[in-house]
Amino acid sequence: MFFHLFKYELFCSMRNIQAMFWMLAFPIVLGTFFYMAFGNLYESVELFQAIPIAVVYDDDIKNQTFSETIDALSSGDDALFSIDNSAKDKTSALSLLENGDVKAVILVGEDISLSVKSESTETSIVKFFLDQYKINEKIITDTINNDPTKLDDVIDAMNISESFITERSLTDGNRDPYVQYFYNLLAMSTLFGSMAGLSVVVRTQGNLSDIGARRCVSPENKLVSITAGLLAMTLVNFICSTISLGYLLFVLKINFGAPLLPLLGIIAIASLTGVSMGFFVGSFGTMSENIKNSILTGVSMILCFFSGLMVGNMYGYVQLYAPWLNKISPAALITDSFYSLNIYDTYDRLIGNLATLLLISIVFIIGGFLLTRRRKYASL
Amino acid sequence: MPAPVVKIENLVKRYKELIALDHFSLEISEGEIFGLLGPNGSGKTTTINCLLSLLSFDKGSIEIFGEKMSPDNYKIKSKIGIIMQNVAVINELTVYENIDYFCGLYIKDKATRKQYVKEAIEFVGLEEFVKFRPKKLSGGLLRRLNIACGIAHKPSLIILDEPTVAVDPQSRNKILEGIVELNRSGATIIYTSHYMEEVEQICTRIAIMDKGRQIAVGTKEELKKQIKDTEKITIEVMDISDELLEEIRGLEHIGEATFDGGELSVKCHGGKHNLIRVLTLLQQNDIKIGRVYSKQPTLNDVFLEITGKELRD
Repeated sequence: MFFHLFKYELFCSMRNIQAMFWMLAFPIVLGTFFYMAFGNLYESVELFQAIPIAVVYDDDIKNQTFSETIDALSSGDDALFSIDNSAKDKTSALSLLENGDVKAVILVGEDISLSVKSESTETSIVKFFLDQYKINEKIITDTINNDPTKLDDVIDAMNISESFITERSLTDGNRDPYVQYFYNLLAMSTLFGSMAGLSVVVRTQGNLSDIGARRCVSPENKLVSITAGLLAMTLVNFICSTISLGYLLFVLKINFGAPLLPLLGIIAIASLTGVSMGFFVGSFGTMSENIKNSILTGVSMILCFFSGLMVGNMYGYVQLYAPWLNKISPAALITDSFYSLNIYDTYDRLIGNLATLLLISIVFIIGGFLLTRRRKYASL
Repeated sequence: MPAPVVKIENLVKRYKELIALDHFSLEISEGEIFGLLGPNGSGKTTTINCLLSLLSFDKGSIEIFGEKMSPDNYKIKSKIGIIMQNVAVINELTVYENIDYFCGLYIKDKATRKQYVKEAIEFVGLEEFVKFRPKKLSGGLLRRLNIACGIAHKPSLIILDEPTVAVDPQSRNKILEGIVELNRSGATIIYTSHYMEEVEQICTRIAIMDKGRQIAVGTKEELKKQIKDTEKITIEVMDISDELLEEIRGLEHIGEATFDGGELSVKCHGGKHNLIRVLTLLQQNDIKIGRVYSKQPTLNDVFLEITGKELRD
């Protein structure tokens, strides 16, 4: 009986176009839009970019040392400067500066001078570099003039960069703040599984559907049929959300900052929570399936709104003004589980979130069972 | 005497102020095709839902196969097949899968189930549509699928709640023939309808319901005997004298005789060979006769006489 029902519940759910749209197509489409909107935002806005500059040399005075230094700083993956070679003279270089194509223009003649359009962090870096270069140049020139034998020692001393600060990253994860939109997307995807949970209760309750009535007059055990339905729907929800995750990871190349297996673990528990939420809501009252579907969609979207699906820092605001909501909202717990897995080296927060999700699921399932125990109806 | 298959005693069901079933009692024996006839809202479906333990009721008792019916009485439930008034099939499953799904709620053995499903498909004539989804079936075919889902597990008691609503005549005949065949194969049938012709055609015993009460029960012959006018004879004649009309009224079992617009109408109260006796009298009086009709009373006439309103009101 169990496997018979399990098999057909799977068929029903996977062939339900409406459910498949919300559980599979919608998250993928929304994920694509998110990618188009935020995909490169982090790299362009948050990560350090080489500072575009123009360097103009006086044709009569070739400063070989400066030229080699600036070339060294402009090459490689972590280049400090990006030199615009289109500027051949001072006029064209200043034109680039005026147009905003470069942040600074370095004029190399007898002296080295700097032109900037406005002050910024980037121009400060260029100025700091030039000041440092001039100091070192003066030290070397003075040493050559006064005591050339000490030149090697002076140069060695310059090359030693003594730092008393050790940089230690708190995480190996992805610190891109925009990745939380994709966490929320997966939270929404799993919570849309509530529609599948709703279909379980609709198909077993005699006062909610004709199919439910037909099943109620059969000798099937309600506990078995509901368990089969919930497990089948959780599996379908898990598969759909896993496909969405796969799309984000392998097609859009979103870095979730964590290995696949723990991500699937979060999705599995979140899928159960989504389905159990639908089962519980579906067990209340005799409203039509469409009305209950609308309620569930609305609730899922509201929960996702407060966990940051539409407004990035909403989770933080909720944490500030109503922290209790983040502790009980399935969307917030799912989102924070992904975040915790990505950011923290320890699993305490992740385990806490997942335990809460499991507890919520158990409460929903037991509540749903109590509301749908075999009984006669006052009216159909 | 064997226990009745279904025994309902003094059933009362209220929906707030409305009394849907008012001390309704019924006994159905094994092998019967029992018709539950009544206008819309008379309480037929409520009776069925109470019988199946879907609906709670305020008073009375229900026994099926000699046992008290309850939501947890799986033994009884496994012997019942139900064909609902509304088509109750799953749109995401094919015809075959639907029948297999519902049959699987009763039959655990796969091989047996496969055979039963095949037989049910043949029985309702859906062999060509096994891979169709319900949405691609016509109304009549959908009704047949609904029936197949209810009878595939070979139940001993089959309840059909208005199974021919919105069905074309061809499918209707197929359904009615099928019901008789199911009965021949040993199933007891409860058939609810407000189509009196169907009930007259297939049912061995009939209960007429109105306002939640049983107003008459018996075979169709027994029911028709309950009314005064048992036969209505209409004869086309050119003219007829008042004396002859009076003579006709004087015949045994003749209640009323009228002549209007070239038609002689005669209402009979029981008796046999009334038509022959009227025709003989007319011939003896050299009356030229046109067309002749003899109409037996219908269940609608029974209903009309008992309640003062038509079944389809």
